[in-house]
Amino acid sequence: MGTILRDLLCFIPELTLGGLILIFLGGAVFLKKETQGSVLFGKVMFGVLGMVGILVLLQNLEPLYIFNRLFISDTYTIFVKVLVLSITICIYSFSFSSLKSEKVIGVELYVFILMALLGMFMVIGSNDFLSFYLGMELQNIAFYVLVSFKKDSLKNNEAAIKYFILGVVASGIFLFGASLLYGAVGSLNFQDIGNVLGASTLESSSGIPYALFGAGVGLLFIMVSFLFKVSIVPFHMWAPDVYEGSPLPIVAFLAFAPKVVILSVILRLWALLFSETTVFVASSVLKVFPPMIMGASLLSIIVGTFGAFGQSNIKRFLAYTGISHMGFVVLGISLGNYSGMHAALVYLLSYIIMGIGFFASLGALRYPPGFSRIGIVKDLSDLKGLSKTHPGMSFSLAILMISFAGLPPLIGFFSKLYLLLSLIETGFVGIAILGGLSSVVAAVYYLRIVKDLYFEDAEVSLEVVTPLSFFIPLFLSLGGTVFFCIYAEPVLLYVSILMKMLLGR
Amino acid sequence: MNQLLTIGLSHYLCVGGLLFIIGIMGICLNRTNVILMLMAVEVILLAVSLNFIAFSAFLFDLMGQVFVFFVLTVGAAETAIGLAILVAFFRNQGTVSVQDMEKLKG
Repeated sequence: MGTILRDLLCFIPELTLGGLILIFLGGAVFLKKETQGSVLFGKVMFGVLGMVGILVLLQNLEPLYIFNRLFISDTYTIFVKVLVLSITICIYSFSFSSLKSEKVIGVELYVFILMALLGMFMVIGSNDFLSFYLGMELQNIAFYVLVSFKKDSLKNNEAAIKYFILGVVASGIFLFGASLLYGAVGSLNFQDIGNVLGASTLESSSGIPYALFGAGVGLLFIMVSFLFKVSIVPFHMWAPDVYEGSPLPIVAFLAFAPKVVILSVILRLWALLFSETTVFVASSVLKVFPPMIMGASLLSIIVGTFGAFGQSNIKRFLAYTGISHMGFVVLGISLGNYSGMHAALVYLLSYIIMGIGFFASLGALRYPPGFSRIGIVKDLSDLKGLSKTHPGMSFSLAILMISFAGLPPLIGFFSKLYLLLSLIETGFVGIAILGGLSSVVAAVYYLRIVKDLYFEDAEVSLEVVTPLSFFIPLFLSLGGTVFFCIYAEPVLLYVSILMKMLLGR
Repeated sequence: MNQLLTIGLSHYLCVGGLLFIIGIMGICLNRTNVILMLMAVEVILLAVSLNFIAFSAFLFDLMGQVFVFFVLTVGAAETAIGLAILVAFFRNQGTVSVQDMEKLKG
């Protein structure tokens, strides 16, 4: 009885979210679209998200296994939960007003955002492939609905179908891998899998011939589905289409939150199975994994970099740059040592900080009334000459672009520096040079945007909407981007504590 | 000889693997109808369920069968969402053909 009570106490943020989803669903029945009530509902969401954040922060920092080791709660899960929650609050804060202009606001939207958040919390806290699967599906189902929210637009329908089919296939592949892993190991618990594979006596202990081979193939399938979710290269084709077809605020949500969640699980599994502290890697089937993932991430850096070149649509451009940034993160993880994973998490943080600012400033830029296109800005060429009419906005966009390009002293420079340094430390000098070269190539189109902003004549004079909800995320992101060199030390220290905990030293 | 005639773990795994390959092929090679894709996804989930049950019986462990229950329910929920998206697409487009999905390219 005592343990059940303790488990429930550790699960309070998730339980609160679940209860609030039910209350919101009940309330949605009584509210019509575009009324005072639905606006009030949207404002209540801030309070709800803040409350969940406080509940997460109140959790115990000691590692605890919950519900028969289905879930885990420790410093790392709390960190990632707070990260995902702050992404959600930032994106929700600017999507709230821009979704109204895209005419997709509705009470259901809040319910599905909360549902996706609940799913993501479950994935972050999962310590077993069963709880991981359930959380991931809850998150996916909510995202399928969010992506298809603009249901009278054909483009949006098409994007939703593509996202749905590929997402379902990815989870099918994941399940097949999980079934093989279950057969080989006899359990789907992360710790059990780590122990059994680490003992490297799988063949003789479980009595199944080729058990180690089965476990390897199962892990390969699981890894493929993870790469699907974070859009690493052989499995990236969905990202540009889905991004182009969905409303911008939902793209912003889709581009950060699920990827952070899946990457946090990849980090945990990688530290458990493939890190340098697990000695067996050198002598088993599993040793093919790190070079394979490294190759895939290198390919995705290159494909993302060159794919972004010819893009005129902003959302497609963002999808390709996202592919190359995710490639950098996974490259750091695939090193499997402390410095690589540390650099990967710092890179992920910097990508989130810069990206949220970019999305928030794009969300504030609208076509003027009477122009042939309506709503949020769609083409990169429409940004031309923005500095003449809106100097402040174009200055912040320019800072973000320079940071994306990796010029000092902004955050994008430092995160790339740590990653390339960790590559060189581990002995992959060639890969570090390739990564550096492709970020130089990427700098070309980032700086082209800065040129467009300042040295071109405007084709259309965009409007900037100015509610506070756009500027709070934008200012936070700009502050993070510019002042990273000042506050870098505590962040790096905290990340290093997390990584040491994950790697168990 | 006797060993060949009794149906063991490997037979179940072969069927499961074949079903999985059929499902993946059904999605990759299908150029006509989106509903066929949904059916292929169901075939994949069946393959997974078969694998889990076979392993569960082999290992004398209930975990695999519990997993199958979750797979079935989640699969049903996913198909419902997929059909809803498909209905929205059909309303705008008039067909559910894969070839008609050409608005997003670049």
